[in-house]
Amino acid sequence: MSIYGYSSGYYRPLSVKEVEKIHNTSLKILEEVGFMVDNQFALELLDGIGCEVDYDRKIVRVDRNLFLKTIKKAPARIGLCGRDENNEVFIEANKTFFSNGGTAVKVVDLDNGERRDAVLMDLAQISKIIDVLNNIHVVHLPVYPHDVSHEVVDMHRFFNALNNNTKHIMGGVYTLEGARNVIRIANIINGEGSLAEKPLVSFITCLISPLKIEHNYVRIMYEAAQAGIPVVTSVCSIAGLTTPITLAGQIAQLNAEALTGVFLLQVFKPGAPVFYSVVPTIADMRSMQFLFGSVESGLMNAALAQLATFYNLPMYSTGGVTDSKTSDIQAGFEKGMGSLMPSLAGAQLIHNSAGLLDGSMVFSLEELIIDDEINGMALRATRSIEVDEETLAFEAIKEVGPGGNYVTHPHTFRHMRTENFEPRVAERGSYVSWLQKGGWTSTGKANKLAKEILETHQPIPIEKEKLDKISAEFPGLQQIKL
Amino acid sequence: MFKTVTGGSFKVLSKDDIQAIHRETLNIMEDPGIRVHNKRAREIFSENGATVDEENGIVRIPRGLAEEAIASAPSSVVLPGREEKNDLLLEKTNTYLGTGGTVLNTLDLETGEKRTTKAMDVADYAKITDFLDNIAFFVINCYPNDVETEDVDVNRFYHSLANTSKHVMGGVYTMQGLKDVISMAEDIAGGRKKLLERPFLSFITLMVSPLVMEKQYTDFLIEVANYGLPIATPSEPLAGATAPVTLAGTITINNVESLAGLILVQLINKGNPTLYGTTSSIMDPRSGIYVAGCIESALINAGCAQMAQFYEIPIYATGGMSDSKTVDCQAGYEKAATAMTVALSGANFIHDAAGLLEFCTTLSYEQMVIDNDILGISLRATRGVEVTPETIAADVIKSVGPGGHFLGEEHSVRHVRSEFYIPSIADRNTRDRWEAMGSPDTHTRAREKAKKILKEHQPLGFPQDLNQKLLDKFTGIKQRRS
Repeated sequence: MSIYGYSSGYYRPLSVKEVEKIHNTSLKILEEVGFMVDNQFALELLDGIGCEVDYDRKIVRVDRNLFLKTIKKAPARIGLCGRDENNEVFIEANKTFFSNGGTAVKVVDLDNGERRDAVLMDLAQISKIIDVLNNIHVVHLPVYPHDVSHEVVDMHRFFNALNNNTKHIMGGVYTLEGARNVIRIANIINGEGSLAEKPLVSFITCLISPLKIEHNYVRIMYEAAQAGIPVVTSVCSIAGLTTPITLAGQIAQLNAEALTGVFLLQVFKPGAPVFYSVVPTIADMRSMQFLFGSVESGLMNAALAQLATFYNLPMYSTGGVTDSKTSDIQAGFEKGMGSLMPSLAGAQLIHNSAGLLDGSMVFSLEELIIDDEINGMALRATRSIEVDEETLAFEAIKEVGPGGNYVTHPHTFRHMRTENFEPRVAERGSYVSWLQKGGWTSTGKANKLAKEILETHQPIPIEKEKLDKISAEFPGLQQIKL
Repeated sequence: MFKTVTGGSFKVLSKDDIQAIHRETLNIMEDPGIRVHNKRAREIFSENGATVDEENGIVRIPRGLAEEAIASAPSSVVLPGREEKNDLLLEKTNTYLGTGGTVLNTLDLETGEKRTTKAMDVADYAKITDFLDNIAFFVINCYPNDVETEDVDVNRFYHSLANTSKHVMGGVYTMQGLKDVISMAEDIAGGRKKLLERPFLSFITLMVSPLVMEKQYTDFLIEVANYGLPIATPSEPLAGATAPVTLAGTITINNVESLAGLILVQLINKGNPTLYGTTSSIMDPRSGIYVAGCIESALINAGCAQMAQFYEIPIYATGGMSDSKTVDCQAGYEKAATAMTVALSGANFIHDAAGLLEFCTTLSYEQMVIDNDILGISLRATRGVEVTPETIAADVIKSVGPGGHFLGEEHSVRHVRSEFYIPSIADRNTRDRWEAMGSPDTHTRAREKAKKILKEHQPLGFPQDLNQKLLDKFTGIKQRRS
């Protein structure tokens, strides 16, 4: 089964004119305000192609023609491969895919429900479970393992996800050395020199809002671009703090920031695969607490999906996050809306959509299972309604006639498997049967399902000779295989 | 007027799809037609040019008659409250959400146990609706199991109108009950003329799928249309059971049925305020039972909203439901997804969106409070992103510049109240603070809030002498034991 994604984009919060207005404002920001690059090498490169560079303040301003000409070099479509080739996905306009959330520092323990520091074993378990979840298409490295030292954390995170999962692995890298090690390991698994053509991993770097790029991330972006590895230039902006408080202002600035990431990568290597990357959020203005599960985030992700489509760029967006501390009804409704809004609007790769609680601080396996189902529901909505002679069913309506029923009609049998999404966590039995089965909440049911998967599922293993080679080259690498 | 949000940015049907559904609808009205189990209704149809087969009750509605009657239904319907601040203007894509029913059971606020509903539950649910700011109207949501059948209607409407000044809509159970309710409404309004000027109550009849108008409901329809009060004519086709399993076929059959009711109303009283309607959903193909919280129900409703917009008739739609038996994560995401999808489509009067669990068969007071927040979020999403030079804030972005912050900007202060939805029940504290409060989950917080509202809120109520008059006239009205 190859995954193609569902055509989406039936929901458009912005009019065509509004998209134009935002686009023009973003270009004006790049021309008049510019962005800050804390890296001498990059400043010189940018100077060389004709940007206006203020070396003292490290500010770069770009004329709109040069800017637009440069970002046009970015590919419109990025293929993300997994170890199992059936898991390859193509991120492009109007196709929606989901990835889980990260990077959390804590987990909810599956056995006792306690909140504790995440360890490498958690990362392996989460990866293994995602391997069987149909509505999580790309693995986002879910947690930061506290039992691994910082210098070697990158290779530990990527390797152990690859070892327990056959989908594409995307994640943040913390050091340049770490990025190089991960590229090496991916090359061994994928076949030497094959990463540019079949990227098994991709890197999440970041820009700082407003309009700033840090030294270290420039180096990682450059390294990834040379290796042909797809790059996310994640920008987490907060309304009223790092951007104007109005959603339109935040969208305009965030659009400029996302395009800056695309621009930079094209300057580093024309044609480099890079995502139009956005993480729009707000803060609670009463407490200044950062918020991840707000409806305004959903709106902005949906609007930005229209912009990504406008530029015909592959998009990395955000959805399905909650500020609830526990897997309760608030988590349900915030995640339900948060996944649905960008999905309906045609956001492409929606990250953070599964497993997270408490903003993005905590990872829960129960929530992962529930969220996979929420994503499935969102994808069903995104698929929308097919209208043709067969689905309109005039002939069936005429045959059944007034007062009849459709239960046994052939038309029902033909379509019953494809027309409706079938949940497995959501309770659809009667009240009495639900009570007889133990009266489980969705979280309780998800807990059992997670344990079942951990016990029974066997992801396709990495070939022994490759593992031996990795062990030989990285003797300090701790390998977990579940 | 009640706060009004305009939807319509989500469209499940293309223009061609709408035309195809309309075309098949007219075909079905002519052949096979509908079965009308009501002699008076058949006479009315026949007098206006429909072909009636008295032997099997089949009425075939010619397209000219159908189109003319549809055109005579008003495009704009005001549903007033007993206070003007609660008036609803149903037209175009104005969107309001509210309660729905009618259920026989509630989860008890004190014990959490499931028990049968009583007359005082009608009063309490009306009162809590009156308080909650995102619930726009009260569709009477439960059945008073503690009164005699002949007193049910008058009890339902009396306790509703006594406890909320929002618009009250409901179904009725007996013809005498319907007459009593209208008579009571005249007393409250100060006569028939005043009641028709500001009809603060309205009625729901029901079509039976597939393609049947039942005797008693049609009697009610004729009575209400003759009097001239607003009426909704929804139908409830279940995909795969009483309608084709394909969503397009289900929308088509819903369209035929609801329009047939609306046409009858218009033939009786041309220009009578009438809501086209749907409460359609699917049959779970595994268990064969009706489910409400499924995403397909939301898609059908969104499709019907577009049909109503095509006919320029306000719609009575359904959203915000769940099949969960308890206030858990499933209830959260099912309600969020179905409420928001239907609201984004611009459906006008979305009922069943507050308080219901378990396929709309059980109410919960806590759920009312939580749903108020879900509706608030849905409405914020529906309002969308406002794009003007002021909200784009290019000047502010320029003056803050790369690396700065927007916290102290006057622009932030100006927009913070209107730009963000401030939740009333969702938790947005830091984890430390939340733990210091005793780690209350959303259900617990909602329970406390519901109790507080019921204890403290004072609805408009009736003047003492009017109240006494109603109690003297309608002796079956159950009163609260003091």
